[in-house]
Amino acid sequence: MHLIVVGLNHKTAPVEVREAITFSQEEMGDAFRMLLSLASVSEAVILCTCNRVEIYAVTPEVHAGISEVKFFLSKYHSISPEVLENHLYTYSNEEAVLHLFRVSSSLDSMVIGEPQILGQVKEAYSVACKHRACSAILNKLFHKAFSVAKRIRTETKIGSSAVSISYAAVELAKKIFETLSDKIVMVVGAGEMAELAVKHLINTGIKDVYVTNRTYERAIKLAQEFKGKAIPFDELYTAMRNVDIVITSTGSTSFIIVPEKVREVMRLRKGRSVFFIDIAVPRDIDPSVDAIDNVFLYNIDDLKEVVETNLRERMKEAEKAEQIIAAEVKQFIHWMSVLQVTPTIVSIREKAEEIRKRELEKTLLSLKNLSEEEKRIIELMSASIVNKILHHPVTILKEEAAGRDGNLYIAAARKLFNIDDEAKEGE
Amino acid sequence: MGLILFNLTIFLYLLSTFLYLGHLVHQKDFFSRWATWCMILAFSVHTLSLIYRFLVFGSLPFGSLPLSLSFYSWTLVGIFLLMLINFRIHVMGSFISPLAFIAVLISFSKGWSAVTTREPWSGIFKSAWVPLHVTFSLLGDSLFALAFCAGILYLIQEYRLKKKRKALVRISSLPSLETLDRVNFRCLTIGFPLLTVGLIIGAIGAEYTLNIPWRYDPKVIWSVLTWFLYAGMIHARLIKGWRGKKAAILAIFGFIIVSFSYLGVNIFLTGYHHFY
Repeated sequence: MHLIVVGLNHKTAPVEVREAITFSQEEMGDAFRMLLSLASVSEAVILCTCNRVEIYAVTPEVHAGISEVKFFLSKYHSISPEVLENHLYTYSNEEAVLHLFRVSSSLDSMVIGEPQILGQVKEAYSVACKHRACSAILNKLFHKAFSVAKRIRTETKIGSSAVSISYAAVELAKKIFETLSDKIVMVVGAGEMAELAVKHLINTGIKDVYVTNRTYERAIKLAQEFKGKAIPFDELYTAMRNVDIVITSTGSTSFIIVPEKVREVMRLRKGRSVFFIDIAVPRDIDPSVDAIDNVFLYNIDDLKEVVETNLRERMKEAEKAEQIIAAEVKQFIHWMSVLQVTPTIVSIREKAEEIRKRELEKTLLSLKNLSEEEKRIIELMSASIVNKILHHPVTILKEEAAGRDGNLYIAAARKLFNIDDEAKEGE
Repeated sequence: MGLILFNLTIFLYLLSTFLYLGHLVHQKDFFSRWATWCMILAFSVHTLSLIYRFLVFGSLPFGSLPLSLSFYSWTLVGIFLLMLINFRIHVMGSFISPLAFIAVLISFSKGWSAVTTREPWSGIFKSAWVPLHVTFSLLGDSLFALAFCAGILYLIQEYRLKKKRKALVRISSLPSLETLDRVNFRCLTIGFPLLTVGLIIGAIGAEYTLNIPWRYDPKVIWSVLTWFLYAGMIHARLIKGWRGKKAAILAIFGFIIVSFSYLGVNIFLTGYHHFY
């Protein structure tokens, strides 16, 4: 049995191709029926996300399996095989295992370390199970992939830092404040990125949201959206006395928030920290505000820098993850080869046992005057001869099956013990 | 027996120091978890060795400055472990454990074995004043030491947040500024009354038992100075709103003064507190 993957992703195919060969939930039944009816596909999982479409399958023969799955893809989506061929990648066995482990650990994602992919792989697997498309090998493979992904999450810091501007803002807030649940955030002006940052803050759990704008009506509208409070623009500094996080994103060409006023506010706040996030370009907050004690000012470039540093960190962590994966792939391949050799070992044992029984019977028939005790001793001797003779070949077979020439050893063993011929004779 | 317990204490503090340093470098919870367990074990063995010593000599180890260092590190670690229940700032262990290690080491090499000979001033040490005076003062000092550690961590975290960019990498394991500031304030508000009680007991005790002019002893002067410093700190914080960075710097400065009146006075100046 061999493992194969046929698929494409955001690196190999443009969105037009990706959306053309996507599988909707309703079609899954048909798709699996067709896949499993292929001569060389015995198990299959279809992984379909917005960035990738991949089919994992178990097949008795790698080349036949791959070409049949390719054929299935082009036929199912009515795309010419030549067009598809340019975008597809295929992997088998060790490489296929490696690929799945990398995908589910988010090493193959567009944003390395993003957490959604593991959920999507889990979903794909459970859909395949529902359609009875998974059996021993894919069951084991996918469960292993989940545990590897989990291991990488806990042992490396691949997903630990924020890689979007709005998340970076939330993360920074958590470095300043112990908890956000008793903090108030104020939005000055309105902009897409500011709104996103506020939404993230609300999701993290925040006490209240104040919204202010030069046009009061817009402030009221936005405040309703956030279930917050609208503040008239000229009460900006009065409100700031109770506000812990200020996000600015107005279209103003001059500074709205200036150090003299902030100093005054800080005095009234008795020095409680304020976190200013200036997302506007041109900037809304005078940069010298940052020099005031217990005031922290981050502008859009600072946040971008944080994100980029975090991304570089992730790349470093990804290298550690690759090492973990390499070790896990080795283990899985070992398991597969043992699985592969098991039927051969069982046949050898069965055959030996059969010979032993036959010969024992013959012998006992010709030795008529034996006591029960003597019969038992002869029987024991026959069993131990068989065991002793088989012990070494079976051990070697198990060991070598995991090696590079595994299949060769299995074939040789079958030939030496004359297993396949006999099976044919029996048919 | 006492020797074994004491050696074990030193070893365990050293071990937890290494584990905490491992935590600092690798930022893995694995290290801080083991380091804390190691610290708890060290503290327990330390407690046993203090009890053992009390049973043998009939007094707490207050007889000399090095001896008191052992008791000081015991209160310091004890308070740190109590604080962990509330604040979970394991990083602070990387300050506390080496401090405890060095303190017990000095205590061991300088005074521990010498106690078999009678402690000096044994008359005074038999009275209840001294143990109470020392215990309260050292409890106060321990809390100031924690405030000092929180202050240093605050300045590091604040520096990184203000510096932005590069400095922000690997920032994640440090506690938030607000948390550190809260630890600072909590230590101050608990430590200050303890120090006050310690000083009052010392003054009353000295009035009753000493027949020498004790008021102008350098240690007394420095201690009173320390008291005013911390009183001023609490005032500045409550009335003027000196939080965050200023409070952190004050806590660091305060602890340096405290340490001088505890250790430095004995080394550089002379007075009747000479045994202490």
